[in-house]
Amino acid sequence: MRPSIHSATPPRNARYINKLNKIAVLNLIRKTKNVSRAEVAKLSGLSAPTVSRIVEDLIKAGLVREIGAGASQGGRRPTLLRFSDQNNFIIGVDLGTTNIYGVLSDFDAKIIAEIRRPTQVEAGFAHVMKSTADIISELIATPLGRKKRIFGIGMAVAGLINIFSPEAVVIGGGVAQAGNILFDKVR
Amino acid sequence: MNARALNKISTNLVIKPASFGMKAAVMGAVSLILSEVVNFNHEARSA
Repeated sequence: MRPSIHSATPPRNARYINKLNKIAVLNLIRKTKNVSRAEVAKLSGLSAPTVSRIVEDLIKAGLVREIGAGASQGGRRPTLLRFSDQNNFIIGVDLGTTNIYGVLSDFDAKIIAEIRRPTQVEAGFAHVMKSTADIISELIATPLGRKKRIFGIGMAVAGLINIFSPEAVVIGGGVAQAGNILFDKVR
Repeated sequence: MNARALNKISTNLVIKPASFGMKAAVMGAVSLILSEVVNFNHEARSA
């Protein structure tokens, strides 16, 4: 049977529309720094109640914060919103054949902490995974890493990745369950 | 690249240094997560 082209299309339901609206509102707040709810509604074309509901969700999720009152346009001073780029962190790891390079970065791609160690491929796969997990653990244990929210860990790997098995990393032609080893260590 | 692979595609290809330099790979890893967050893909996975 021929695969349906519709199988790859996302569902057109209220949840999906809400997700698209959230993406639009978050990106507007990211790009237009210090913006009010009314301005977001005007720029996005969404209704004021929809913007208010989405903004409340984004504040609860820690992605947006209120930064104070803006200039009055004749009525009540609007509360300005800003993307929480410095309150949320990401860990990035470049697993190279020479070095393992890990960084703790904020959402503005500013590097807060970095660790670089030789990969020592000759010591074996388990050693490389342990070194990688140690670097991740040390970045989480930094004062800001402990204090702030870490949204995720991204890895750049020299080699092919099996995207159908998120836990499997292909290094040098051998497949290993890298994900389990790393996550067990980080936990 | 011309000799070994993709010779038709790479004929007019200009190779430029990455603006992030040696940090290009790690910044790519960071941007993967940022992209997941701003597109709310992490919510779909945790649901």
